[in-house]
Amino acid sequence: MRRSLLSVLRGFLWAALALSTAASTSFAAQTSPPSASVSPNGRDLLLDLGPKHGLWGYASAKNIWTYLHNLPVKSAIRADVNRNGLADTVIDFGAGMGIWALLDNGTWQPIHGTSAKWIIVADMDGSGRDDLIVDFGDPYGIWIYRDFTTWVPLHGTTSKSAVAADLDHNGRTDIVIDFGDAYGIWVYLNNSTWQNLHSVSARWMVRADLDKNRQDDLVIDFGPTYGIWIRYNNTSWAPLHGTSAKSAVAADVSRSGFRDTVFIDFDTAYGIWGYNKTGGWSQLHGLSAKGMVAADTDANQQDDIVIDFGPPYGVWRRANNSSWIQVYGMTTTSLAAVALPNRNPGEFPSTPGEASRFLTQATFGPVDADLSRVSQLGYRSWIEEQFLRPRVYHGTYWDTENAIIKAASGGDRTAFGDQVTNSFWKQAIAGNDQLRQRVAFALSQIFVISMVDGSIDYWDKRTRGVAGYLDMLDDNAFGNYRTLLESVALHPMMGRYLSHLGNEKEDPDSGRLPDENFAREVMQLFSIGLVQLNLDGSPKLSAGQPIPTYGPDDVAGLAKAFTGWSWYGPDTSEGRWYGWIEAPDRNYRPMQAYPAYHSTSEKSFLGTTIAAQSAADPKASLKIALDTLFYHPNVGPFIGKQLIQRLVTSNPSPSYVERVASAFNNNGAGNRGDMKAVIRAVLLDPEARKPDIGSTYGKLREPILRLSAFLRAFNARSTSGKYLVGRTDDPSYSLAQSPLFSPSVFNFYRPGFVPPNTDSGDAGLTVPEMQITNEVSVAGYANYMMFALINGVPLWGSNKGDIKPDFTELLSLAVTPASLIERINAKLFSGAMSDSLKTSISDGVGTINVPTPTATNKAKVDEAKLNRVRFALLLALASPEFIAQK
Amino acid sequence: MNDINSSRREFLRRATALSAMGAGAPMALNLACLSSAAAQTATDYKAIVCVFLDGGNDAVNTVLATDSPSWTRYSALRRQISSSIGLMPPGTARNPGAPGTNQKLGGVLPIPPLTAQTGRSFALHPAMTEMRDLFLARRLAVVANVGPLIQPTTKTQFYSRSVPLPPRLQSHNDQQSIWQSFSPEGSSAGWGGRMGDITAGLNGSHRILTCISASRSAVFLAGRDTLPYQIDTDGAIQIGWDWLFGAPTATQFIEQVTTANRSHFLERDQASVFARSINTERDLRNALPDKDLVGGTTAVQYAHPVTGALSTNRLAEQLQMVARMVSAQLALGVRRQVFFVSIGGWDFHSGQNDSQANQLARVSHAMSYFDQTLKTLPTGDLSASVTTFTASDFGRTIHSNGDGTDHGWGAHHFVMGGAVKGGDIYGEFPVIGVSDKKTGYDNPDEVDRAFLPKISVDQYAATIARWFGLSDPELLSVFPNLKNFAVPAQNLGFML
Repeated sequence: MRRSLLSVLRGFLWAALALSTAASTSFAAQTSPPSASVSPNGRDLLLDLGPKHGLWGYASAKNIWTYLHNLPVKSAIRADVNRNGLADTVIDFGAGMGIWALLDNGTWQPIHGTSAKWIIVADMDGSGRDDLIVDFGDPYGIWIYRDFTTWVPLHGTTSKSAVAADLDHNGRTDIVIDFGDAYGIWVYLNNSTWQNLHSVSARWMVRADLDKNRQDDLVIDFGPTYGIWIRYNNTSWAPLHGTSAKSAVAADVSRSGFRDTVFIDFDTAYGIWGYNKTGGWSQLHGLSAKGMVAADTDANQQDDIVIDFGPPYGVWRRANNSSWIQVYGMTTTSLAAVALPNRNPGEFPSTPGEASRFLTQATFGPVDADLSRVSQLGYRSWIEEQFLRPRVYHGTYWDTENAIIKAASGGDRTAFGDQVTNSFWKQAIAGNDQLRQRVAFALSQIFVISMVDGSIDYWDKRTRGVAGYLDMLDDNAFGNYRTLLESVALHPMMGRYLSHLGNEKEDPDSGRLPDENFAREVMQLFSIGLVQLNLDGSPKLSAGQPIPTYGPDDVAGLAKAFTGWSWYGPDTSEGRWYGWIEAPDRNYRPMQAYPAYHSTSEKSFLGTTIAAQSAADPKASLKIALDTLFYHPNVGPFIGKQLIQRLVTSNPSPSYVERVASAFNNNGAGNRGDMKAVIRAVLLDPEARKPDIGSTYGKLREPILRLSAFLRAFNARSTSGKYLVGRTDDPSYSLAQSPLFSPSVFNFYRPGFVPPNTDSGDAGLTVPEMQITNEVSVAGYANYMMFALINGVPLWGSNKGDIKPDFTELLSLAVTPASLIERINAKLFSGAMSDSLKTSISDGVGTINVPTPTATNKAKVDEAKLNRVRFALLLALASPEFIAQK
Repeated sequence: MNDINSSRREFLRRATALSAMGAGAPMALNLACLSSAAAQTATDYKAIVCVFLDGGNDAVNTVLATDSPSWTRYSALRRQISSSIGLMPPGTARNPGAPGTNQKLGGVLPIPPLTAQTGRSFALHPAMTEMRDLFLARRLAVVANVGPLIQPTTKTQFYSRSVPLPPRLQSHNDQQSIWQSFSPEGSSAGWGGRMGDITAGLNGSHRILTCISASRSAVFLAGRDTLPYQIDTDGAIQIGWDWLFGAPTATQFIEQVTTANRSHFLERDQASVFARSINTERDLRNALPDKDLVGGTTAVQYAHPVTGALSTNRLAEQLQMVARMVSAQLALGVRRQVFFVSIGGWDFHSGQNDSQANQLARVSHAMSYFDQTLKTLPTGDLSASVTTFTASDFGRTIHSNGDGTDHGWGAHHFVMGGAVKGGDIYGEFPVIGVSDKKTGYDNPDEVDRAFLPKISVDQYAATIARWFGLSDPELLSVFPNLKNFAVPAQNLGFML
């Protein structure tokens, strides 16, 4: 939704409303043509699952969930807003956002900036088009949005509730409005005549056709004193029940063609009962509902009753008045029957392989649960759901383990790098917040710190700060790049790693100048890069040469801006600055400013000048420095292209980079640096979803992602629950890559690495991961996988085999190699394994003989089956087809 | 199945080179292209070893000018109140009880060069005792103030930008690439690899063993045709074994799936690496001498310069692997080899005192271990056949940032071996000092507070490559800027 459009519209219409309110304060009649019928119930459901989970649409007939928004919903109703014959949905998001329409084509259209007391849909003027009737409350009163084109005042008095019903069966919708105790209930008949229906205000009113004569009836609950009555055909009153009820819906549950049954919720005392004229009363359920709507959820022209029973039951539907089916296991904050947009086929996988490809890019490896989820939600909604997944903290893992290690060692030892590494793996293998973790992993390869370095040190308790750094990346993965950049700049581990923690201002006497390390790398690696870029990531040229973004003077100037920051603590004493005095949380709390050490001289960089400061102000300097970087036009293409490379493909087309960079520059609401918009753009781009694979598309799976894909595909679980993978950096005997363990700030590999003397290199292609691929590492990787298949992970040591894949399903296929291979194909290759690889694996597996089972050879048979599974998987995992993600 | 891809590549390249010359080119010229020069007729063995110091070593504290004017300015620039990075003057005794690392280490180690530089005297960092000894034994030379240059460049020319300059100065990855390949990141061929292109024909069926890294991937070793080969410090690694998982010919199937010919480039390239890994491991399996014959695990341990604690020196481990390969050359029938080893941890923005002393102690120990080992290989003394030299991203700033130094440009480097005219300093040692507008002091050898190189990487490398056997035309083709330097200066003269 676009706020800017909304506010324009709001201003315009508020003025219109204010003008006409005065003219319509009496029950003045409007003359207009006769009207048509009420819109039928919707088929689809709108479920507001609360602020954590957001607003979802559910088309149960197709079993499709769609994420719609993260705003709370006040009310929603089905209507044909754009007059194209297809139903749309009008949603009132409450004060602030107002009323919007979700059109059948999936776009959002603003209706009005003011939230409503109630909204109903009718065709009052007989135009054959839906009108919206809205009570905006005081001081605006009730308005008609005729044909969704013109606002017409209906009444200046706000009311309590309303229903639309064709009481005289003439094709024009009449409106029944309850004005409350002061005025009672009135009927606005045929868009012309006000009739008083009753002087008593209602608890609720429902439109029904109990006598099945196509002339609508009303079921009205007048409260405890009078009970529930039926108004037949706008002519006669009949009592229905002496007990007042909580709510009701009327529906056609017998496919009679009439809304002939009313379901009334008598609260916890009696539960929910249904009534129709022929069958009388029957109990639907003993529980009371939190929310209840009628909808034809299975699209068979027969209404179902959808009920939110509240926790712990969640939402259920009574299909065709016969069976109970759970819709969702959680309760809603609002539930409505609506019409959802037709899904865009491009946003849904058309095969399991397409879903698997997507999850290979967006997670640490496809698992069955995510495959069905993405098929159900579509790519976009799957991403939105991931945005809302709850956070898990690596710092918590480290702290928990630290307490255990300390206690076991009598306080001698602390947790260290292993606990960061293992927490990473725990989330990678078993976490539900896959997209966040995967993006944070990508960010950890752009905003690099490394436990290789002595400034952080794998064996030191300072690694608590590295867990905090990973948490910081998680925090910002779905936030804004500007905040991310500042969080990186002020993180004490980055401060240690690039030595701007404790960076002192220049000293003219000694000639000492500020440390330039961070100033240089924040430009070269974290924001703008070395040369000026076009939006599509190509270098701008001057006389055929790239144009540098900065020179030594910019580095020196920016270095001064990054002086005066050091450890967090409750004071800014000298001991705190130098680190002699330690606050217990200093390893992960953002660094704090120490004005005494901040350069006050003029600082010039990248065309920006921070004027000399009379009083040192490190925060002000930092803000200008980071803003200057943030607004540099290079950031979008520079960061965007690297995220594409980490998730999707090593050599994106310039137009793909441009689309992602544009999303960085403007998320659609005028905001720059919105990481969610960038992630959507990366993963939903046609070049990500429906590329021409050809001979060059894709990327090498990083070794970490190979292991994670394997472990996830076969549902590996940790015996200890701690996922004790340990370090995997050794190229000879492990994976040549361990998280947060790159050899330098230049990451494991460079985004521009062109592998020499390869087909890719000859074609001018960038293949970053080839930088850690060599004769040693390929052997190290294959052998690592071999031992992982034998021992589980880790391969050796006291934690050996803590993580073990589950081969139950594959073992059952071991005697039929073709089925075994197809299962591996689906699990690890997105269904794209070549015939020649299938043949090789099949031949290889065939050399392992499975004896014919006898009464005594079960152990031998089982061993042979296990050998077949392991060998098939080794051949699959070692194959270049698996290693190249396409 | 010996390196078919590589041979195919070489064949195709030469075919292309021929056709590019056009049908009218004289036959003689075509033939000259095919038999590429003197190196290919050599029957002796020669190897070079590049020791790359990742991160940019601080040359100012590695080789020091100790004459009075130099030392005075050095002390003013580097000796400060807290965590000073200034080293102690020559002759200062070690003082293990002192608070500062530099005081603990004692004074810098004098190295009188065979060729005097007027008014100058020199020393090495106090942690480099073994390399001091190698210098005095004339097995080690110093080459002063080397760095990437397009052509000779003066300070005035630098500031007026009146001559072309190397791109992306001070950027780690780009300067590493430029040192190795004369082109910034993204470059596809380095000068080690180009030398390999020219000489690989001498290595018979083992072309793959021409350019070898015992460290990481490096563009230095990539030629236009030559592929770098990576080896673990323990030797080549076999994938799986037969009867693995009960499969009698498991390795055959592993080879089949990992090396299968595929149409997708990423898969092809991956398969090529697997093929080289598997084939070469098969070739080397029985050819490499046992580690114990070249010092085992004890000789590769070094002593921490302050605490004296022993631990494994990863650089020495890599050089141990190189020594094993050198020892195997006769058995394998290879004649020319280019090796790459490296050690990270040289980006001394802070805490330089401790880290640089430790790093230089590793280098010093590793170089000495290597020289000693080459002299006593199971196959004889090959130390005169192997030339080892240092390289690094860049030098660092002459001034201090408090407890460290920032990115610079020119730096001093070392060349070691039996074919090196050691015990001398080649190139004019730069003036120490940072120009200061206030005092009017101007150092002609300094730009942006770092050394302006006097010797280009091209000159430094070409001197080594000439010894390796490259002809003048070949040198000019491998080293793109060499032609911009006067002919006498194209050979710095430190090789026999």
